[in-house]
This record gives sequence, C-alpha cells and structure tokens, in this order.
Amino acid sequence: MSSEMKMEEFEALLANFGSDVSVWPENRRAAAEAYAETSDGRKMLFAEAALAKLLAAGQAVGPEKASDGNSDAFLGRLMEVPSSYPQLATQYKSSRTTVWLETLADLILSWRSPVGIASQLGGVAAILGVGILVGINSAPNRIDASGDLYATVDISETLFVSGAELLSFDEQYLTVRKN
Amino acid sequence: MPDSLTDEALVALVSKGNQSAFQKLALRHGSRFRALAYRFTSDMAQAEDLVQEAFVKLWTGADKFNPDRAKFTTWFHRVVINKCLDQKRKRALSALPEGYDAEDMSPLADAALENTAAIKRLDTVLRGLSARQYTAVTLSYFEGLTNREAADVMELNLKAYESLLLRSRAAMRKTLMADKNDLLSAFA
Repeated sequence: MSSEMKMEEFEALLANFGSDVSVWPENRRAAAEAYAETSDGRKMLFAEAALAKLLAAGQAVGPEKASDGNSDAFLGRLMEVPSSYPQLATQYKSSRTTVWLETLADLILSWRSPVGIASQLGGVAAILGVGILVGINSAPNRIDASGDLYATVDISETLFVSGAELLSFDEQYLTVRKN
Repeated sequence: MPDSLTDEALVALVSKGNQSAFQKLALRHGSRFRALAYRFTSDMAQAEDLVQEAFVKLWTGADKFNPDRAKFTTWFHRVVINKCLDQKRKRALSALPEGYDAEDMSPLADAALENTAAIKRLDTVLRGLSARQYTAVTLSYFEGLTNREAADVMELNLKAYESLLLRSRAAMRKTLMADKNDLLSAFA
C-alpha cells in the first residue's frame, strides 16, 4: 500500500510510534516521510518530539519534601490511623450475634461447594421422607369422632377408583339398602 | 510481620484488625501515593490529608477489598484518585466571592516547581486536559503503570484506555502546536 497519507493517519501513527518515522510500519513509511515534509507534518513531528521531552521532564517531578519538610512525620501520621479510628467491622465480629450470623453465612456460602450441595440435598430428601411418612400415617378415611361427616369426607375419594370398583360399591350399597 | 507477605495478604490481615499489617502497607505505599495525590492537587499538605483519608478507608473498610477483582495497588490508586478528583470538584463548585482571584488549579503549579521552564511548559500542556485525560497521562507517563494496570485503575477495557491515552496525547500536542511560539521555540 503506497497511497498518499492523510493527516489523520499520520497523527495516529505518530501517537502509536512516536516522532521517529524510521520505526513506523514499513509499508507506510514512504508515504509518512512524504507527509513529514509538508508544513503540517513538520509541525506535528516537532510537537510530538517536544511533548516526549516534556513528559520525560515531568516524570522526575515529585514531592522531594513533605508538607512540613519531614517525610517521617507523614508516615508517622499514617501509623497512627489504627489507634485513632475504630475498625467497626472487627468490633462487630467480637459479638456473639455476629459470630452466629457469620457461621450462618459460612454455611450458606458452603452450599456453593459440591460437598455443601450434596449435604443440603441430603437434608432436603430426609425432610421430604419424614413428611411423606407423617402424611401416610395421618391420612383421613377415618370418621371423625364428633360425627360430623362433612368434615371428614374426602370428596376426591371416588375420583381415582375404577368404574368396576364404583359399580361394586354401588351394588354393595344397593345390597345394603335392600337389606 | 514478614516482608514477603503480598499486599493482598496484608489487606486480608488488616480486615481482621491487624495493626502491624496496616503499618506495613502504609510504609510500603504511603510516599508513593502521596506523590500521586500531589500530581492532582499541587498542594502537599492537601495531598497528605487525602492520602491519610484513603488509608483510613483502608483501615476501616479493608473487608470491602476483593483480591479476586483487582490488585491492592490498582484498588488503592482508584481510591486515592477518586478522593483527589472529588476534592477538586468540591473546590470548583464552592461559591467564590465576587472579585476573588481563582486559585491556580493546574497540576504541578507549586511555586517550588515553577523554577524550571520545562515544568511550566508541561503545566500549560496538562492544563488543557480533561480530568480523565489527565488521569490517564499521570498513570501512564508519570506513575509508570502499564496500560493494562492503568486501564484497571480507570475501570476501562484496554482498548478504550489506549484510545483515551492517544486522545490525551493528541490534545497535548495540539496545545503545543497552537502555542508554538511560546512552547515549541524552547525545543528548536
């Protein structure tokens, strides 16, 4: 590629590679050198070189002295921070409630580990099993001792039995009624 | 407290109330961050106050530092720079009495530094930058951070940071070119 170079491209290369055109990408170097001969090109190269010098000078600028001329005093102020400012998080940690909450938080966070997840699933399965057992043992089909049939009759009782059973039930019922 | 402990390990100890760990970090980084704050404030006493505030934040809020997200120095650069920029904003927003001569807010305006022509010129060039551009230039050219580290401090992706740095450099170059009689002549 050896097309003429525009200012934008020259500026971008200048920003990326600095003011020494000889280190710019080889395929654009000839076009860049041609642009560098123009008035704009010369100004930009000059400004870039000046900027590099200025920035280098700025690197050396630093606080040679502290505000009171004593750097140790400034560092001493920093050393005093722990004794001058309470560390609230640490204070809270000493209370029993916080210890309990932290334990709970640790437990919750432990769920993220495979062992934690497995133990939590085991717990859920155990609770579910107990719930099913309790449910089976306390299932209705028993007449309320109070005699209030409406309170104990399961209206879904006949929904899950076969037609043959229903017929049988009706026959029995009819038999009973006949008797 | 062994010297071999990393900054991140020390911060973990600080979060548990370990004063020695805090003091180790203060000795290790106090002067460096004071220099950084000074580049933003041009006022040594104020720079020291701001860095002290940042270290107070470290002491009282070390548990908020997440070593999985950033290095300690990246995080602390952010804390110090934010404090400096906040301070500048507050000063800029505060109402000034009529006829008040605005304080020179430019970077590196300290009288003690103005004895060198180069620093004066640099000051003129930096004055034309936005806060973001100035931060990028400071981190890359004066603090010596890599582009990756500086991008992390400014919470930008690398490409966006490099673009910001290029724009900053172009802006500085334009200032130099616009004022070429005063500035460029010194380098002729």
